[in-house]
Amino acid sequence: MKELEKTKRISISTVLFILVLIIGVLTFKQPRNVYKKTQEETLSALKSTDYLVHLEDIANQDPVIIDVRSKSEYSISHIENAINIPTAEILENKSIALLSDVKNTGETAFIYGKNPDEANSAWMLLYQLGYDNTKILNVETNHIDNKLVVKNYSLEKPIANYLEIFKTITPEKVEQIKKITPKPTKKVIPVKKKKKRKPEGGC
Amino acid sequence: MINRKLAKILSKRYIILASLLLIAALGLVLLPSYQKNENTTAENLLAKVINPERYITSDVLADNIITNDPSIILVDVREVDEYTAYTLPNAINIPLGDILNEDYQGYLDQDRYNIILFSNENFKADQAWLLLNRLGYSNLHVLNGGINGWYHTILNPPKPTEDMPNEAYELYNFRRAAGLFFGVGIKAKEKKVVKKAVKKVVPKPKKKKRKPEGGC
Repeated sequence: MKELEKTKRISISTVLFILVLIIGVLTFKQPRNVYKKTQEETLSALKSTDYLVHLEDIANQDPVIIDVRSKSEYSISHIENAINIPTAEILENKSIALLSDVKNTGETAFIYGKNPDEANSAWMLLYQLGYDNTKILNVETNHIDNKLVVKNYSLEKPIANYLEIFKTITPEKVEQIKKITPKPTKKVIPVKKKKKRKPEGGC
Repeated sequence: MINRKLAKILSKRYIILASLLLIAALGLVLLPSYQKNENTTAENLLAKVINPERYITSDVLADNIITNDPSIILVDVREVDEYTAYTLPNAINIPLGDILNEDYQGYLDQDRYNIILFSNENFKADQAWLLLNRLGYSNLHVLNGGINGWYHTILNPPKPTEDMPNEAYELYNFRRAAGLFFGVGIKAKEKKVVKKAVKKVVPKPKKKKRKPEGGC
């Protein structure tokens, strides 16, 4: 009797153990996006400004351009042949598949937004995930009359002479305007001398 | 007959179970190496990127500095020479290139203070923000617009035009006052050039005295 109970316990526990193993294997899931670059590698990439590209540099190529602005802005106007992936959707399966395609063909994807600030976050995420074939277009885009105007942008440029504002300008001494009071001059009323009229001929 | 067969199998049950466990253990070796994200997953990071809470406006920051809010640490990620030229009051300088230095992690990796990163614009501060957030640090913020934005809002605010609502005037007054607090020089008022009114002299035609005419 004792022997039987022991074997029962052993078999039950083994079956449970194997069950746990099977469940573990079935639910094993790899994270979809894994960082391929460490922070240090990313930081050294940031130090070299290779990742910033001006519009002229890609003029002759037929590049893959990614627009990270919102859909509504994209629908108003966009750079020709640009693909719209808003920053919020950059990690969705569709976008990742597209980016992997681009990476596999060895092309470079250029990211742009309203300004490089907007493209920055998307680019940094993608770069750290190993899509090091992406670059930022260093441009500023504006809608003017429903047309996209693309201008080169100077990043992190301080305002010229902004320290001037701290200089106190001592107000110049305002010269007191002397009131020039005209001296009261005696009014001389010239008494008109009555001219003696020439005697006129009477009638 | 059946009983005997069953008994035969049952007698080997320990061996069978043990071999099953062994196979399962060997299977672990064959599993692909597990790739994991340290600290934060990319999805979490993206969610933080989209969240507008990562930015703090210069008006809120100015208010915090003026009221001596003890819970904020200002971190200037620009280069040293820019930092020495001008920075926000009580800001510490950690250039972007050194942001991962271990010396500075004491400042950055804590959950008591709100850290506000700033540079000339959003760009560098954003990059620092992303790098630090990937490390899993909390309470990080970016000053929206950076020093340039600070200049345009606090130090040199645009004057509201007459068609703006009252709030715009209140905001302008706050910014002016804050600007004075942060040491903006007082400018001399523009001198008004008053034109002297010139008396208009209307020449009156003098009546000519007629020569005495001969009477009739």
